[in-house]
Amino acid sequence: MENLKIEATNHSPYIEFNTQEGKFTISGMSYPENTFEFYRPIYRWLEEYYATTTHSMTTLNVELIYLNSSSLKAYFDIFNIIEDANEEGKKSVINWIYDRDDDIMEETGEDFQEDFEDLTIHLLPK
Amino acid sequence: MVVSQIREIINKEGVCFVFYGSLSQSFINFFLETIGEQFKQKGIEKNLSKAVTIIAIEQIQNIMNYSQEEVISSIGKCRDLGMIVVGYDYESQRYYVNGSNEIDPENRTKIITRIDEINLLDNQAQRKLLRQKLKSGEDAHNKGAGVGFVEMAKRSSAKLQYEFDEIDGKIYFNILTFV
Repeated sequence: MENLKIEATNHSPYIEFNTQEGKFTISGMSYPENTFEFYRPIYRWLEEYYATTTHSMTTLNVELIYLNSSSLKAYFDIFNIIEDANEEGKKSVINWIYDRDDDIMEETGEDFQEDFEDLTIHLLPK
Repeated sequence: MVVSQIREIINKEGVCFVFYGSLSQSFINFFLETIGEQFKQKGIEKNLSKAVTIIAIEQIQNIMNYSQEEVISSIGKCRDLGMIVVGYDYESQRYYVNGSNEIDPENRTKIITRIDEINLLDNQAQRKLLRQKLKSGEDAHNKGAGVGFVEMAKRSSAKLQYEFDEIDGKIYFNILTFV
């Protein structure tokens, strides 16, 4: 399966999913004009990855500075895909990385932790 | 002159940023840069600054998605028109974000119901409602998750205030949020 790499713009994040290493990175801003159009290929890629991967553990590093309400929904959907895979034994760890002074991103990470109790989500202030 | 009148309003209302026209993604980039620089110079606390920008972006993207206002001239079409104001209310000593756009009259009742429902809730209940709506996707549509008002309310320090103006048979929706 091909790796996925999408360069960042002012309003959409940098995305790099490395199939060989099972390491994913998402960083930057997320308030695309059409959020679902932007994230749809990412959902599809993730579904295919989890259907075919032989990695017992996948790591997703998410370091977002800002996300709009539609992007919140997009990450909810991404975590749902990861949770479904998790139930089938394809484990993942999510590192939610944020600026230590950023209460809003910390709270967002806490909400995801509560909503996805079966997923390992680490809140990592930096 | 017009500029003197506008300056007087800007000073009186503590306006930091005001724009009326066609709103777009590139406008948001410009807005973020401008307001971010201004808040930095004023030494505004980072989380306050971020809450103001979150609310403003939600309002701007709502205008982009729902504004019915457009201008058609001989040289082309100008769409997604709306107004966004960010300012400091001297009386309550809080920042505010005030947006306005023409709406489809059929959406008026839906907007009222949605905001009134959110205004009944405290911050924790709004947080819960947002997560419930994200989970169910019940208000999602092709333009977004349909949770912009809840996100604005969560980040604000007062109830969402709104009103409708009727001008020349058109309905304008105005929303005011204090941070």
